[in-house]
Amino acid sequence: MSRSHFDSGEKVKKKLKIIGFLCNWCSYAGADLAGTSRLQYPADIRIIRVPCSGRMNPLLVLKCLQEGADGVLVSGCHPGDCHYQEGNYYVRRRMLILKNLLEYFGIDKRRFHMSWVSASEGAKWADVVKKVVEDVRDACEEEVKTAG
Amino acid sequence: MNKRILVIGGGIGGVQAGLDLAQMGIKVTLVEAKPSIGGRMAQLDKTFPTNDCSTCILSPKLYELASHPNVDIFSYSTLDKVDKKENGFQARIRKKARFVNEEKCTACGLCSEKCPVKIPDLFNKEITTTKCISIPYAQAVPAVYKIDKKHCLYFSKGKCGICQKVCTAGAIDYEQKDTIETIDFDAIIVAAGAEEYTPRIRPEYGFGIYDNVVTSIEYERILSASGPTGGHIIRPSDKTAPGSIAFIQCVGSRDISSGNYAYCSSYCCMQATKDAIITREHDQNACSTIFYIDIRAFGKDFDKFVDRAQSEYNVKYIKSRISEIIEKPKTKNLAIKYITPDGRINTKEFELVVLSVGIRIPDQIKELMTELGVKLSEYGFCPCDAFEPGITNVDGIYVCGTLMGPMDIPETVMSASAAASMAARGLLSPEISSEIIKEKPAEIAIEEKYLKIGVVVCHCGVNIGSVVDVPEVVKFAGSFRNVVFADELIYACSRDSIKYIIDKIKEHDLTRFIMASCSPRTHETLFKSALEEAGLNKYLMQMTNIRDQCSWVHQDNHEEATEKAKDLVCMAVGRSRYLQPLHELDSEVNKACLVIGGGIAGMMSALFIADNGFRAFLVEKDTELGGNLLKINYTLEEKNISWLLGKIRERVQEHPLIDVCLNTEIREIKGYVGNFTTNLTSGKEERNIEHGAVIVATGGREHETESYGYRDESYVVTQREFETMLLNKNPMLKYAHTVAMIQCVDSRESDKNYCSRVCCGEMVKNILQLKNDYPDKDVYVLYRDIRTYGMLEPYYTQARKTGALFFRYDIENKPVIQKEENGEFIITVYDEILRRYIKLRAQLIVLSVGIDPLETNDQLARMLKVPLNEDGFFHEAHVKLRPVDFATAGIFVSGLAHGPKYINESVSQAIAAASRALTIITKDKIRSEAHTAVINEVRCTGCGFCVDVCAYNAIEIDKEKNIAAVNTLMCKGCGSCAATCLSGAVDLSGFTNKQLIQEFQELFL
Amino acid sequence: MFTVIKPMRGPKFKNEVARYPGGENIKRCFACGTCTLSCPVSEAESNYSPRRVIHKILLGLKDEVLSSDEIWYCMTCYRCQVRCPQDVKYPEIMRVLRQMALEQGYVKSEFVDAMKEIEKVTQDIRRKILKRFIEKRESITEKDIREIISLSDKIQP
Repeated sequence: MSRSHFDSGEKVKKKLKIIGFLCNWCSYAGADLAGTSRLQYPADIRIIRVPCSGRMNPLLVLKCLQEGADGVLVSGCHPGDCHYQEGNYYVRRRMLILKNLLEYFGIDKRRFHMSWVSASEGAKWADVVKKVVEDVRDACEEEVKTAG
Repeated sequence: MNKRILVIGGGIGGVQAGLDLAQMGIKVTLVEAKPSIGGRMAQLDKTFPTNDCSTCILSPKLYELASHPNVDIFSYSTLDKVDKKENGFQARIRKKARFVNEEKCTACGLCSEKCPVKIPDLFNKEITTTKCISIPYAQAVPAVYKIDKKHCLYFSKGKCGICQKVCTAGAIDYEQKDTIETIDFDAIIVAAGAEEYTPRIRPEYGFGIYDNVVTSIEYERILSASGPTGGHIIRPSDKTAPGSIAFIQCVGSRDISSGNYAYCSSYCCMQATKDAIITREHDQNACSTIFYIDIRAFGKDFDKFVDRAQSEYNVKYIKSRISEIIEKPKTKNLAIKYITPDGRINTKEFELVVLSVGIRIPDQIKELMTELGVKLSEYGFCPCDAFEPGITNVDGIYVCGTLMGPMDIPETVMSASAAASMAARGLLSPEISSEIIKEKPAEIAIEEKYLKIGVVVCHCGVNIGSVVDVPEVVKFAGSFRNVVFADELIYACSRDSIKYIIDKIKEHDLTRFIMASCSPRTHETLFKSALEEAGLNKYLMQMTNIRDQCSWVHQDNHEEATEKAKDLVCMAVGRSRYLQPLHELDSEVNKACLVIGGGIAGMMSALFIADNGFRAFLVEKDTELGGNLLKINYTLEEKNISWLLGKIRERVQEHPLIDVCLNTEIREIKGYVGNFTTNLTSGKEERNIEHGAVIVATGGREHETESYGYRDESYVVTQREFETMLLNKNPMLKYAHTVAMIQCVDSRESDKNYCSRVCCGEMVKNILQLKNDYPDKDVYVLYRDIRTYGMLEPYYTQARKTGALFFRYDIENKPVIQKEENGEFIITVYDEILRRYIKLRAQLIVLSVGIDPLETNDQLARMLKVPLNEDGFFHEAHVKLRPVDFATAGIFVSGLAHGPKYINESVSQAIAAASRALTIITKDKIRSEAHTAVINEVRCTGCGFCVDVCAYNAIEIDKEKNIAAVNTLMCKGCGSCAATCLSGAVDLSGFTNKQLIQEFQELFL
Repeated sequence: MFTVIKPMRGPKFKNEVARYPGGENIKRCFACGTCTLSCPVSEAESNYSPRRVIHKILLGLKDEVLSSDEIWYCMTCYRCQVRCPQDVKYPEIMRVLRQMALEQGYVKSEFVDAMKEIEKVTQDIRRKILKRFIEKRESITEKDIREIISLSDKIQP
């Protein structure tokens, strides 16, 4: 269902609360760089710093959604760049499975995102947040619509 | 003795040398002429062949250096004078006025934002502009701004002064003067580096005339996500994305006509390959063409990288040096004429041209070296003997990096580590520990206390305060259960503020502390030390980033930014409820090192461990020391290898601190960094030795070939055999009027797809010797690419000058050998220049067979739990910045075990490995990470999944209890195990499940 | 077709060339092809390649080289020499080869004189074509140029 369908009708106005789990070495540094470069992006994201994206247990993501987060983003170093050798390879596999599992649970896949942002990709980080916020908002609106 | 070493140059070489020395317990003064450290590597977008982000891997090293208590960095400083004194040097260091107080500047950037004067941005190669008060790049270390006096309105016209007005930290100081410090040093390491060639000297390439002709370093900036174009690949003339890009190799390299550039710059072929790949990754339609003379993919996994560029990224490689570039006036496209692989002349238009510029030593560095009395070669580099890389003609002065000759990052890092242990000789001792013990107040036990949380919200001048409603956030923070103190500060990082924080922690008897300010990446250490001062465990502090990730990125929406800041504080409060005091674990270090392999690499590693005063066990499975070097008689630089080898063997064997174990095999290695126990067997004898570090220097071996009739024909020999024939004046040489050499035998194809690096040099060496002894003999060389990189190139030129003839052949069309009845060989090969097959007659055929890894590597790798690469060589922790380390702490690699390399490179790496091992064994105790995996023994089922995912071999299954056990000294705290455990038995201290869950749960209460 | 590279008797051709002033650097050549790409003659006649001529000298194909047309094609514009990264002096080498061809009886002295005349006249024609084009400033095709040349005797000095 397209976004424009809602523009005239009821639109979810409230600010979203999306939790972003960022690895310390690449994505968190990339998010810092977006700051130093004064790139502007939506304020719907709350960042939690983890040492490595490989720390991310799928259950943490589920718990987050269960507690009331509108969406979850997990972001790590690019595959091959992991500060801890291979943590992001593991998380890539885990999160791929989780994504399919979410659908099975009846949770909109757009509520969960995974990205690779390096320490020099401030602009990419800003773009990722924009895209995630847009997707999560779409998912929320669609649910409101369906429920309504 | 003050044990202080001066490091000149803050590029990756200087940084590595400084870090190694500091970790050995030696004080380091690093002088850098530019306003920030990081050097050339900070300007690169990515690094080959793994395409790692350059900033990502470099920044942690810069922070580590800058925050090391043994290191003083003098950036934007020069050396006024260096005097030789008894047992050392005295240097006058001039710290140039920045007009910004280093102590006060918080790098908030407001001054730069408001500064009205734009100046060319040197860091971005003048592609864009920066402000007159600026910092070179966002992650610069030190993060201090600088005024360019020449362009500043205040200095030139006496008005403006805006920066001073807007700086709330009061850091702008127009009266600041140069300061001079005179310091005594025990030794000097020069890591001053090199600069790029200016292609203006070759006007036919149109650089500086045509807009769309850029240099490779400019292109790196264009590719960089944080570069002047924001990571969008756009060409200068019309800011559009170029669909076709040409890379022109050897601009200012292998070129004696435009200056004294007879050498090869070594890294440009791979840099162009990398840039072409990244270009394609940015734009799926972009096509790159690389015009080259020889593709010099001589390093580890480089050939595979080039293959991938061709097969996956549509990069075209054309062997044709370009004569000129012509701009099309309307489109600003660039026409390039080239010779096609089948010998025709073709012209193609490109939208952007990148000149792969070589390197040279800048004049000011030549002057510095002259001042220091260090002799330079005719090309301006500082050449060193093969067995003494880094040692100059001046006692106590060492060099590393590109100053020694063109080299890539890993070679620079190796040479820097090597220079560190060379310069450290005489300054270390097993009696003096190198770890840093800081006096701090006794820690208060919090277990019995109530949870009392304190929150400080920082304004960061106007950086946070002008966007986020700080008082509102403070009020909100104070409303939480357990929060007993909440306040705001203008600059929480100032000295007064730190004192205030310490006082408040004591006053309110706080047990947790929350700092809502900037990034923990830059400031966590500072606030942690405040907690320590106050007697609190430093891990009871939680930082939350309301500047870089809030006020700066939501500048236009104060309300939302304030809401977000409140949420972030809320989350920090939640998490802090479950913070626990953490303690690093100390473990005793056994101050000896095991060196496996008694070849040149092993011997040099052992020598430098021992020369620095530490014990080394040198284990060799053969009956004598020397390894492959026993079969080498001379090299291009050294005429008498056996004599030199003899001297080294003698020193090793007679060194009181080296325990040489010949005829000895390793049965078992147990333990971890600082505490290894190794079981050695020699015949029937068996013994256990204890040591704190391991260096793997097991070597490699000459490949055994069956190609070109080597097995059956006595007149088909390898280069090594040919070398011995020359030495012994073998009678076979009399009969052989013509010698044909075939390169890359069995190499760079199917199951041995790597370049052995040394064969081209070996071929050149043998030609020069042959032509010297028998000037009338003819030599034909059949090659695929001549890879005489760096300073070997002039030898290749010399070989051509002797009259040797070179024929390039294609892998699809290898030369064919037939034997005549009279015993002569007829070689049929396609001549690409004549464009027809030719027949060459030769009496002796010499094969370059390359280097194989040892079959036994596999066994040793399993014993040490370290990885091998696809080809069977040992796989280092990081190809660029950790070329001698393994991911597993305390284990290092050097020499041919790591990959094919020349003797001088093996020696350099071996000394580097000694250096890295010394950073461990110079300590009495080593300290684990605070954040480590913790096992819940009740829950653990002993399934071993955590063991499989641990990249550091830090987890083992305790066979008796059948549960996992973590070795905290080896654990790096990534948390992969915690995420993997199916029974929830593994957690990561400092990032526990409970802490992470509470962090978001608090938000949704 | 196969070319059999035979061992030379007597002094080697490349050394013979290298002994003349201007020929010294011939053996430095690493066959990069810059000369061929710089050459205005190669532009018109794609089969003419200075790189190949050097290669033939190095291979010792003396007879083939000295009796070939190729050594007479060079216009001595020196572009190849300026751009050669190894300082091989192709135009000077051609001078050496022409001298050798004369001395060793491959051509007669009248041939050399005629060459000079041809050089002079072709340069004259080139200048006149250019002059005509510059005066009229019209676009000009290859066909036009060929037509001008066929009428060249009618172009007044």
